[in-house]
Amino acid sequence: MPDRRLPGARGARVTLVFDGREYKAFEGETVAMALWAAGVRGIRTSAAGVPRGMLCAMGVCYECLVDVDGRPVRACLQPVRGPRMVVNRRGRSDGTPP
Amino acid sequence: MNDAVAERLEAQIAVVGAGPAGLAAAIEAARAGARVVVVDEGHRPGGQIHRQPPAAFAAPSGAGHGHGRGSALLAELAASGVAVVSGATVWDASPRHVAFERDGAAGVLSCERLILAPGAYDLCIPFPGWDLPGVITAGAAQVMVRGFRVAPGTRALVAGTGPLLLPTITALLSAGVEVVAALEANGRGARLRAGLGLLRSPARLREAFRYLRALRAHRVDYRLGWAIRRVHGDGRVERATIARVDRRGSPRPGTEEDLEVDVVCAGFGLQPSIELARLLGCAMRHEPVRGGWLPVHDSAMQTSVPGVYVAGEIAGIGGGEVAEAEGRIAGIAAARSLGLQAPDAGRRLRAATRARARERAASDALLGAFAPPPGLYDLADDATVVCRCEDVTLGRLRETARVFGAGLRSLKMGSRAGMGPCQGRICQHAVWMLAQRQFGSTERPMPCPVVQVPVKPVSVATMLATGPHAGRR
Repeated sequence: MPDRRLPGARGARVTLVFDGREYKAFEGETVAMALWAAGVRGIRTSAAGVPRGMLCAMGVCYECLVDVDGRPVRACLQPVRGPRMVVNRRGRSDGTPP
Repeated sequence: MNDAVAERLEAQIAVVGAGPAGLAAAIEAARAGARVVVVDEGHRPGGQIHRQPPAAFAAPSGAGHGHGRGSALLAELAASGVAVVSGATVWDASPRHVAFERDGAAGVLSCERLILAPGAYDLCIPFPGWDLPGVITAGAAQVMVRGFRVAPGTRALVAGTGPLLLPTITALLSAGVEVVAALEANGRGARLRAGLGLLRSPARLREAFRYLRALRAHRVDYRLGWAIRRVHGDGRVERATIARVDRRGSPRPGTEEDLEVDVVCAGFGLQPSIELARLLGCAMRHEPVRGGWLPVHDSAMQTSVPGVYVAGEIAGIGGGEVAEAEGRIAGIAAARSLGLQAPDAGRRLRAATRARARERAASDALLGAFAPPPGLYDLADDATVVCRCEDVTLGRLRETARVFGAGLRSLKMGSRAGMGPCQGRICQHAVWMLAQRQFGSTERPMPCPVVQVPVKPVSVATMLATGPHAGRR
């Protein structure tokens, strides 16, 4: 699995679970950054059923919406929380599962 | 109901936004003796331009890296005693209240004066494949590298218009990313005009030379008069087609080249975040070069709504230097209106006013030179998604224009373009431009955006807990 992180100090290790798979993350990172660093690009399914990923990384575009504890949150603003955090892909807006 | 509001804060002066404008405003108001609270959506103060790595990353200096002005401003903040509420999404405001949601809970900040410094976001121009995961804005690339030390990819294409492409390229280079090509749609004339404009601002001229030196050192294939034509890939970016564009920005057939890339960073300049000013009923004026509809303000940065001030990009795109100067002016003025003033306020106000004039002139020259040429709106084809939230393609917009008319409101109501969670921030300017170029619309200027509560999506529980009018009691 690729790791796109650059060298430097980071926070404590966090296990991030997305779509049932485990990814390495570090405290201080957002969900979007941890997934991107692991090579995950599509994190949402659009209304037309195609994969979409983070666009703006600053909370404007809402393309990185994911499900955390049943709430829609912007992955680019949502910090990872240790020791283990479960994040899910959101269902499509027409109610069908992703 | 009020018990359900998790955070109730009070300040004499409330500031929305912790970028250079908001921080400078807060620092000056605090120097005057005012109690100041800043609310900001980011995790740490600094905004996009002086973005700090997460606290858990324990940056050696404790401040932003590489930005001398940012470090100075953050040091001033630390000494000022100003409280910054980070991670707060503001969704409603009145001249005496700011309503926000933080970590899913409702918060209300009461105030006597309100300074709006919410900054700006990337202007997007749709092109085929821009909705593929792996296409990001120029701003996003900088967030990843400077904010989180994550390389956006291994082989990058940078494309668009404007001076912000340069720091994007150098950020990618600093992360070890191979910048396969960097495309500025404007031609050589733009660079010359921009250079002349920069003569007014020595700091910016030095910065521009630093970027261009880095591009040369890394032998970046930097092309003027080129644009991205199409992005290809199966669920993620794998390849990009680029093409020459003419003076007006329209792609020239037969000039296409294919590049193997795994990330595309697209930037076409910035749009001011005017939503709160609009919500508060501030009088607006249209200034195309500085980003379109902007709140009218006086020389003290006060809007048409008494007690409401603006500073930085919301008052017109101008960059960090303008933002900091306007923030200082607004902070000093807002404190003065409460009868509070630091002994050296007059001198500081004059210095900020001079800096503002100088930097506005320089940034206006840059914006004029690097405005996105309108032909870039010919890049999209009928299968291209324009509104990403609602998956509305250009073809569907064309059909909607035929049935309902090509006005922006008709297109929105008839197609749902701009009615998703981003509330049109990403697509509305493009929808309006496409209507001009392709559907025969003569609606000019773009209608001022209609803004409603909540200006960003928050939970119904937060809205119920807070009540109407930002929790006015």
